[in-house]
Amino acid sequence: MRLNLSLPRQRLFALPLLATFFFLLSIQVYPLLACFWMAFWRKGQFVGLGNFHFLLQRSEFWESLQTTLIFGSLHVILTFTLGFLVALLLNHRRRSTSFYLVILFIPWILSQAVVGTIWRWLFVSDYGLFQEWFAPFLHRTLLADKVGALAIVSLASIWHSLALATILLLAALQTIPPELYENARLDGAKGSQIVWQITLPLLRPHLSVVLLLLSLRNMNAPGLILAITDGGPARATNTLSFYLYQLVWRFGDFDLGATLALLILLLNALLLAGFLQLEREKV
Amino acid sequence: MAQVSKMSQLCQPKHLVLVWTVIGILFTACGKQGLPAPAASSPLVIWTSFNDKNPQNAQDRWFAQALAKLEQEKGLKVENETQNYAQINSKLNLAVATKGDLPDLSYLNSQQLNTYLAKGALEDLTAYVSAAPWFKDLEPAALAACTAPDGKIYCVPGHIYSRLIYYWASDCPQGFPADTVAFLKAAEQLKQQGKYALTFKGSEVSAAEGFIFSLLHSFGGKYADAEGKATWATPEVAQAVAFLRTLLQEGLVSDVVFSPGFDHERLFQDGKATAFGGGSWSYIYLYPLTSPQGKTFAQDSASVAAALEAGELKLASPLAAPGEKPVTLLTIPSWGIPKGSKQPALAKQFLAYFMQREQSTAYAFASGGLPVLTSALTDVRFQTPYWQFVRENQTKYGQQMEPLHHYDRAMTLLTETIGRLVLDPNLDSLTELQKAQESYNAQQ
Repeated sequence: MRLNLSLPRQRLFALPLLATFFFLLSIQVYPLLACFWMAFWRKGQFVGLGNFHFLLQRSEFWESLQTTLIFGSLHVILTFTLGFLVALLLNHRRRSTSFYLVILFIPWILSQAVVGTIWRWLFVSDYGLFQEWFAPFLHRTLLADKVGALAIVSLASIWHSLALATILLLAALQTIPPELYENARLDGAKGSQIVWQITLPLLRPHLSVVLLLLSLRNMNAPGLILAITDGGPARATNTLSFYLYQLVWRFGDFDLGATLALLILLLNALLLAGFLQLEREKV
Repeated sequence: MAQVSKMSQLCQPKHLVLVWTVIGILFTACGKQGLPAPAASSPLVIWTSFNDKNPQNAQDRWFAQALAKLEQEKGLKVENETQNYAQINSKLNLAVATKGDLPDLSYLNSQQLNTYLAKGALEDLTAYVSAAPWFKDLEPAALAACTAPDGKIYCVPGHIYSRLIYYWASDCPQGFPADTVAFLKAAEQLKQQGKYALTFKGSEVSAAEGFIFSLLHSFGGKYADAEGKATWATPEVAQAVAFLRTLLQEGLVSDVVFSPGFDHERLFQDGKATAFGGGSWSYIYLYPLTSPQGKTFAQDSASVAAALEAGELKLASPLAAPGEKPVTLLTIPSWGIPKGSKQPALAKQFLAYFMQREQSTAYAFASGGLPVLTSALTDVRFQTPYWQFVRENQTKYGQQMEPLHHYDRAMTLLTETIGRLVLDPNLDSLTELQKAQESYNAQQ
């Protein structure tokens, strides 16, 4: 038995789509527009670019930007390099690849709060396992040291994201025809030559996606920092995303928070534009 | 073609009915009809930092019992939503500002009163408090903490916290040094014995309320003027920073004090640090304790009392600048009714119950503060040497926080700046303090 519907089917189908569109509008577009609106107001007064001017004059903003760049660079370079090496290894070990991937994926399925807590405990001054190991050489509490704290947060971040980099790069590696490697070997190419002359050039279309995902993920997530160092010591791990969290959720400053959110959005957009430009150059 | 085929498959009536059913359910769930209107029998929703559902310490256990007793005696059911102690004030301000899910009543910190007032987040309780039977029994310091500059009362004080030093008696046979000069001498000797002289919280927001507040104010520094403007860039504050730098550079305190959280407390608990800059409430959390002689006290929150009784542990007022008096910050955990509270009448019933002498005294004792009712000070629980010392210290050296309109921002900025100065001795104190001060004042 078929239902006798008076409206044409396509139109009936379009209506739920419209509902979905409005739903997305309300949870994605509206907050973005509200953010734009709030960034130009201060305590109910229209201030034009005043909030941007104010924020860009704050040393806290520039310190956070600097920390973001250092933290981001460490994260992206090391995660990518390690991810690439692990992907190369797994690409050759086809029999046990699934097992290693499962092991590698454990950190990825954990929330940033859990990962942060694990790494914080590893470096707790009195009973942290890693702190105990490093203490005889470094003679300092790493979590209380500006460089040490940033290093811990970076390590935790790399550990957490390694699975993402590995799985994406492994998928990309598996698109390279094995005959190319065989031919290269027959021509007498060595391992490093194969990587530089064949693997990396053929991976190029995928590299920017991996790098972009790693960069954006790192720039926009304050969870690890919140759980490990709370932005300290002395702002040493206070990245832009953590500064945004502080402004909005700790200081209740929505106007400046919205302004900073837009600046972070701009940085994300610049990053994306940079990667797209790289892609175009390749083509 | 394939897409068109898929489209027509999706447009089958059974699929459309399913989609519309899901949409209908979603709209019903989102609609106001789905939310039950607050009935007279709705539980009173409160925010506190106490964990009554999964008690972690003596304070939580007392609170869970008190809520059960309240329901049993008065029939008032309370739903306590546990909040992070360091974020409860900012979260309440945010909830009021955004008209979000509000409690009917909330725990708050009186030192943040000016921030609440600046955001207009609290109901005026002047009429209620002034007419309450316990009004005339209130400790003046407690009432002052809940009173705005215009004379209106915005909160109901719960108990009074103050700051003090706990120290191991065997490490200081002559008693704890009274000022910073004597302290440095004693600390050098302790260093020779392989001990840290002191441990205190040096990082995060609450650091600026504890040892650092006492030190800066004893040196003559101030956090803000009467108008709430930061006044950090002064020679007095720089002197206090210089003292803190000496402590770290000379290895008289461990760098652990700048770790996040409460890691530094372990040094004192294990007898590796001679003194601990804590608060009147610290005994709730300070266990187990092992004295430098190796004697262990592991009786939950009674460990400090046991160590005091055994003569292993002693108390002192906060460190003072040479020739100056010590300073201890008085903070008064209080109750406030947020603007927009749905059940203010029930909130007042709760307050009426907890402000009775018996309940108020039990609350203060469980929380590690002195009672806000003067009549409760004679209670037998507050006659021990510990509480006698706390009271004397509070009466002689107690000081309220200066008015800061953006409390968390000010405390964060100040703590971060001091932390940076101590960790990096090459920075010029006055220049950095001036930068932080200007940054804070510009955001007024």
